[in-house]
Amino acid sequence: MEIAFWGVRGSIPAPGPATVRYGGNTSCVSLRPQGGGLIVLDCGTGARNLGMALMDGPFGQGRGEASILLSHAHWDHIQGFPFFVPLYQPGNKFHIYGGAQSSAMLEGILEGQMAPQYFPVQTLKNMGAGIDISAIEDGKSIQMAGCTVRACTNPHGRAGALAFRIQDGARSIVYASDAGYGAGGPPAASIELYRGADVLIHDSTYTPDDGRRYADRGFSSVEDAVGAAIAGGVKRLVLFHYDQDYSDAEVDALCVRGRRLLDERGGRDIELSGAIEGATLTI
Amino acid sequence: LVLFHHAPERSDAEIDRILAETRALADHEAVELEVAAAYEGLDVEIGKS
Repeated sequence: MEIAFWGVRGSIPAPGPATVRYGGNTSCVSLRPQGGGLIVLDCGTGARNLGMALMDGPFGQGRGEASILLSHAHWDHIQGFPFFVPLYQPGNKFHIYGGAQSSAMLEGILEGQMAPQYFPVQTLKNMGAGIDISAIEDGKSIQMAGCTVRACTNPHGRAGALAFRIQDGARSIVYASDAGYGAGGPPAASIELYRGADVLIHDSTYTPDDGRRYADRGFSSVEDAVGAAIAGGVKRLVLFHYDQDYSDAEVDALCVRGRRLLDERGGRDIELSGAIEGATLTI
Repeated sequence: LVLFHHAPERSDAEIDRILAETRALADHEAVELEVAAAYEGLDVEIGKS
């Protein structure tokens, strides 16, 4: 399975000379399972570059099909959706899954940001591609692109954010962006979702100090991410969703801090890297 | 004239070229026009004699 990172920043795009190495686009990751097909995790502004890259293949001829998993509907996870070009190509098919209480509610959220006050296309129905929208229930398994996908709600803001486990044969990756666990660490159901994953892509918005300062924002620090990786016994931790104010040098330091914390707390065997916009990881 | 609201897919090199073309157009029309392409961090001072 190939994992590609198109946007790794939290909250708001942060382009500029201080963020050229890790990138300034917000959350978007794509997965190419071994058996083919495509799964997209979140549609932050990174989805624009993913969309343009896809147009070179079947999506450019209206023969593409993909599943899009949305962790939640905060801006940095849906802002790239209206700019995801394959959605405008008739013939393409998209199956969208998210964590609202019902499919109608999720459709309402996505439809809401297409309203003419926000975007000139006015409605999802004008986009061209076939789009179906489903809400996912916690703990229930669904099949897509030859993979089994299971979701679990993490504490984040008022509505929470879904973490997803994608099982592709013997390989598994977990995407857990936007998790504000609080002092008790990850809930038991989240740890169960992370258990033994080959790759855990985890919210790592803050340094431990900033994490304590902004505890009410519902994000993880690198320390929380390390705790989740150790509790779940994962093989590799990928830091993700960096604070918009962090420069490349500060994200470098975040990775060094994460490595040290893993080593100190019994996670010496867990590999660690910081997600980089434009990079790919094959497992 | 300050060119603004560049398309997201426009690279720095492409904006440089658009700026050069715009300046050439102004020259061709023989108008006295200062042209710049807006970039993040640009400051333009006006009203200084």
